[in-house]
Amino acid sequence: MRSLMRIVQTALCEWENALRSRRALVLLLLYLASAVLCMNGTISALGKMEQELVRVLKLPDSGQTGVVSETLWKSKSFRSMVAASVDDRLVFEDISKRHPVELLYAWFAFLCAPILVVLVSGTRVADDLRTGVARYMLVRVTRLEWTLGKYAGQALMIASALAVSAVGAWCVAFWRLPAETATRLFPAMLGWGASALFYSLAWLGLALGLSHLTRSGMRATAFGILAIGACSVLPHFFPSIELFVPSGARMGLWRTSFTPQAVAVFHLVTLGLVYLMAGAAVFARRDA
Amino acid sequence: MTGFALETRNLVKRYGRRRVLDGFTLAVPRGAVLGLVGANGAGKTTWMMTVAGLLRPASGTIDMLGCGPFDAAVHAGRFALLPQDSELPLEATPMGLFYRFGRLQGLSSETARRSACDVLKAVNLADRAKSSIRSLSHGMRTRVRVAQCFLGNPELVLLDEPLNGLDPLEADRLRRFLRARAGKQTIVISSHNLHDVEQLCTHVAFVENGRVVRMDTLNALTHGRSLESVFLEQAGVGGSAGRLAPPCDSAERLVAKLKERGLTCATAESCTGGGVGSAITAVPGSSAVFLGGVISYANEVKRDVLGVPQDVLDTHGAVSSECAERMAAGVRNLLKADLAVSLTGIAGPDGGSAEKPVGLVWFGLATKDGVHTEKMIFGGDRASVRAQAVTHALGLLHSAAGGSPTPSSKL
Repeated sequence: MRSLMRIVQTALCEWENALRSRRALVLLLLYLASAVLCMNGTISALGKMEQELVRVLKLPDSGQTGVVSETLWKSKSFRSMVAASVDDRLVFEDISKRHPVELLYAWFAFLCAPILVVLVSGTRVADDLRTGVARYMLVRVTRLEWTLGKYAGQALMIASALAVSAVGAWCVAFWRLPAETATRLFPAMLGWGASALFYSLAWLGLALGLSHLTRSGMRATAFGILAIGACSVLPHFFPSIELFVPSGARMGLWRTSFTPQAVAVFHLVTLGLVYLMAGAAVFARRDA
Repeated sequence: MTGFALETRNLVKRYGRRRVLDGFTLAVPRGAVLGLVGANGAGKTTWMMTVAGLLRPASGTIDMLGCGPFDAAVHAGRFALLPQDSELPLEATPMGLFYRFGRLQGLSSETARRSACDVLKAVNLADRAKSSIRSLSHGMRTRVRVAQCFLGNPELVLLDEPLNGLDPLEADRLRRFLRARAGKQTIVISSHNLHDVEQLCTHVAFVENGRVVRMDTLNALTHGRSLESVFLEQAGVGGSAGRLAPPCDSAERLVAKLKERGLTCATAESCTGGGVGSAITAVPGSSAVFLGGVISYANEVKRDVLGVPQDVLDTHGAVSSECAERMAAGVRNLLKADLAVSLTGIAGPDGGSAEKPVGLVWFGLATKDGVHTEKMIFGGDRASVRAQAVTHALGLLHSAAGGSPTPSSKL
């Protein structure tokens, strides 16, 4: 119980300091700006595409972005065309029930989450070891408590970033789309933010685990970027590796039913903790 | 519970082939303010970091507050460290950070807040409690770093260069703050500023090449001389041969004090083999005060000449408080002296055990009021242990004769 309290206090300390750090603030603002711009650009592109379709197919023009896409999305032939491009039929069936705009936000969140995690969180342990900040903590908490506290604190940080970006992106959707559609999108986008958070936890474990191996923040970031590359490329050559990389479990998060989502969440969180503990195990034998 | 807040025995720390700590043995008495003095690279900082669990030792034992080596789950809140050249998180505020530190140490929310306010006030930073650490000057940051050590009044505090970079006014304030903690907390200060060590410390340990070569109370070590001159002498002499040289100053001062008070003394020595008697008789005119001594190296001599009961030797061993007590009382009665000192210990390099390590020496001091015993653990090789034991015994006699009291002896 006492140990849990110390982990919570370490996490809160980490979260407070991370929120105040300039680097994190700049990266969070960039992430928010990217989400907003991506959403705005996507809606614009969608609008233009719909205008084109209206003109070519001589459809009645609703004057509002998303209406044509939603109609098109319901068309059987269009669905079978998209289904062919998505490997997983079950995933396709689930996402075909969603609004295209929320799917675009989800795509953005899932694509950028690993980069955000590596850039924001990847340096936190290495930098603390380099500057000596860790020494003040490690006379008050065990190394394992410190590691878990850092993880939880950074998870809070990433959750804050995803929540802010979801709200920011939704504000754009509210401005650009019909109010009724935008209102319907809000809980869905927050839900995608939560899914992206679970996906991020696996990357967070990987980034922090790697950060335990060095005292250089730059090197920790480089390790993280290399890890993203390796996790993206290696499964193409060795499909069995999929089980051990975050991207291998992410498709479950695109499902709407509870069971596959729960399995994916469990898989990703476990994967993150395994990466983290591997780094912590190396650190436990090292000088701080 | 032992009389030591911190004990390290034969601590070894290597960086590659270099042994930064090379059998570092030190026992810090509870309530003492101990100054670690040594040249750059002597191993002071490494020892502190190793004791705090931040560096992994290659071998040796650590006992912190009677609970074994540092373990945050056990020692959090009871131990604090000021690491050298380590930054606090720049984005944090002193108040916010100290509150979290206090909570991590197990303090309640209210106590953590109050303790944070108290220590910030003590280092004159109450008005900057909510400024970010980034906005503080170098000296202010140093004060914040020192202040965090005293959150919740831990029992043992290790301070590595606490007064570096402070202006004279703040350095003086911090000195007064630290002096006020003496006796209430055990504090170890590593400093190159010997003036600070003299002002703050009750005990001093000289560190050379990763080991303690001499440790004693400040008074016993200096006998009125400046610490700097003692340190320079130590550094200048160097080597075990130098450390074997009789501590002439201590003996001269002792003889003078005994003459002044009209007292006589005697010795019962085991591990020092007559070193104390030799140091005293090296002083001209010592015959007026030194009656003689018994070199009771064998247990039979302890038993047959000094009257140490066989069951004491069987039950507690020759290196024990009980044996030292009987030796001191025995030689005092035998030679009809006013004061008698006894020593029995393990000078090494062999013969040590986990319970009785090399460097352990028990002292007995017999006066008309009774017999007091004291345990010390000295670092270094055989010659160094013997030399330190001789110096310490002379210090005990000196304080018993009415010289400056030595905090460790409590006589």
